[in-house]
Amino acid sequence: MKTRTLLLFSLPFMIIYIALSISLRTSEAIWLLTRVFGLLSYAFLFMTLLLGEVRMLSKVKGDAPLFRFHTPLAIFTTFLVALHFISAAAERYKWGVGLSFTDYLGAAFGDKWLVLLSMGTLAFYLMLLIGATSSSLGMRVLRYKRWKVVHFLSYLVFFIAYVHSVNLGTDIKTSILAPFIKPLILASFVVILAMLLTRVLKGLRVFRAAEDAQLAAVFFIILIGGAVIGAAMLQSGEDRVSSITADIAATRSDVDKMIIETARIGDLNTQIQRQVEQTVLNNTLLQTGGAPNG
Amino acid sequence: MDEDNGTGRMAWGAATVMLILIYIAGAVYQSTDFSRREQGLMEQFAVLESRRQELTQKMIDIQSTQVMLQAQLERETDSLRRTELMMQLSDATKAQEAQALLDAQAEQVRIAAEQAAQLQAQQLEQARLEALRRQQELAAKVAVTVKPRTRAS
Repeated sequence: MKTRTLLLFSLPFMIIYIALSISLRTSEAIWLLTRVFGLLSYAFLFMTLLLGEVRMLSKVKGDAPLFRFHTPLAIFTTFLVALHFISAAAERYKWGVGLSFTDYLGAAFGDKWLVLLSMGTLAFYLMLLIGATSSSLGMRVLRYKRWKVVHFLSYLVFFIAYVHSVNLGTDIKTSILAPFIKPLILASFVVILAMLLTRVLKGLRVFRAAEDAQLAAVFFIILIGGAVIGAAMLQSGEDRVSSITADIAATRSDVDKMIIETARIGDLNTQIQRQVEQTVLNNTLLQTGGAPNG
Repeated sequence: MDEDNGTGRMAWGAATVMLILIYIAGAVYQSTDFSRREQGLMEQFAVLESRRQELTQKMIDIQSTQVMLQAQLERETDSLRRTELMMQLSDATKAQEAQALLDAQAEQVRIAAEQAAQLQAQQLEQARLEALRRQQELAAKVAVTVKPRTRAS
C-alpha cells in the first residue's frame, strides 16, 4: 500500500519534472540537475545494496533493524534514476547537444560514449525490472527462487552504474569535487564487491556461523580495498618515477643540444677570431707598405 | 554449527590480521623501493641539471665573446677600409704634387728660355751698337786724315 501510494504521488511529480526539464533543456540548470540526480542515484543505489547486505550478514535476518528501509530506499533510488534519465534525455546544453532522444533509450552503441550512455539506460531498465518483480504480485508469480535470481541483478545494476558514473560523471572525473567524490565512489565499489564475494561464499556454505561471514566481509573489504589502494600507490609511484625519468630525458636532450650549440658557437668564434687577426695583419701590412693577404 | 564457531572466527580474524600485515609490509617495501629509485633518479637529474646550468653559463660567455669579436672585427674592418682609403688619397696627392712640380719646372724652363732670348737680343743690340760706334769712330778718323791732304794739294 505504501509503495502504491509512493508511486501514485511520484507520477504527477514526474510529469511536472518532464515539462520543467524540457523548458530548461538549453540552460546550465538542466546539466547541473542531471549531475546532481546522477550522484544521488549512485549514492542511494549503494545504500540500498548495503542495507540488503547488512541483512545478509545479520545473525538473524529478521533482526536487521535498518532493513525496513530497504524497499523505500530502492523505490526512491529508482525515482532518482528516473529524474536523472529525464534530465539527461532533455538536456541540450552540453552533453546532449547532437544527441537525439533515441540515443538515450539504451540501444545506441555507435561509439564509446554512446555505449556508456546506453549502459546507464540498461541499468535503469534492470532497476525497473527488479522493482516490478519485487511487488507482492511479482514475487507470487515468479516464486522465491526465481525472484531471488532476478534480485541478484541489482549487483549487475550497481557495477554498470559504477562504470557509467566513473566514465561519464563530470563530478567524479573533472569537477572541483572530484578528488573527494572519486575515492568515495571507489570505496563504495570495494564494499559492494566484498559483500558480493561474501554472499557467494555464503551461498556455497563456506561459513559455519554469521560471525564468520561478518569477518569474511571485513577480510574482503580489506583485501580488495588494500589491493585498490596498493595499485593506486604503485601507479602514483610509477607516475612520479616516470615524471622524473621524463625530466631527466628532457634535461639530457637539452644538455646534448647545448653541447652541439656551444661547439657551433665556439667554431664560429674561432673563425671570427681568425678574421680579426687577418684584418689586423692586413691593416698593419698596408700601413707599413707591404702587400695585404686574403 | 556452534561448536565450530570459534575456529571460523579465529581463522578469518587471523587471515584479516595477516592480510593487514602483508599490506603494511608491501606498502613499506613499495615505499622504500620507490624512495630508492626516486633518489637515484633525482641524483641523476641533479647532475644533469648542474651540467645544464654550467653549459648555460658557458653559452652566455661564448655568446658575449662572439658579440665582442664581431664588434672587434667590425672595428678592424673599418680601420682597414680607412687605411686603404687613406692610401688611395695619399697616392692621389702625390700625383698632384708631381704634376705641379713638372709644371713648375716647365715654367722655369720657359722663363729661362725667355731670359736667354732676351739676353741674346740685348747682347746682339750691344754688339750692333758697339759695331756702329766703332764704325762712327773709324769714319771720324778717316775724315780727319783726308782734309789736310786736300789743302796741301
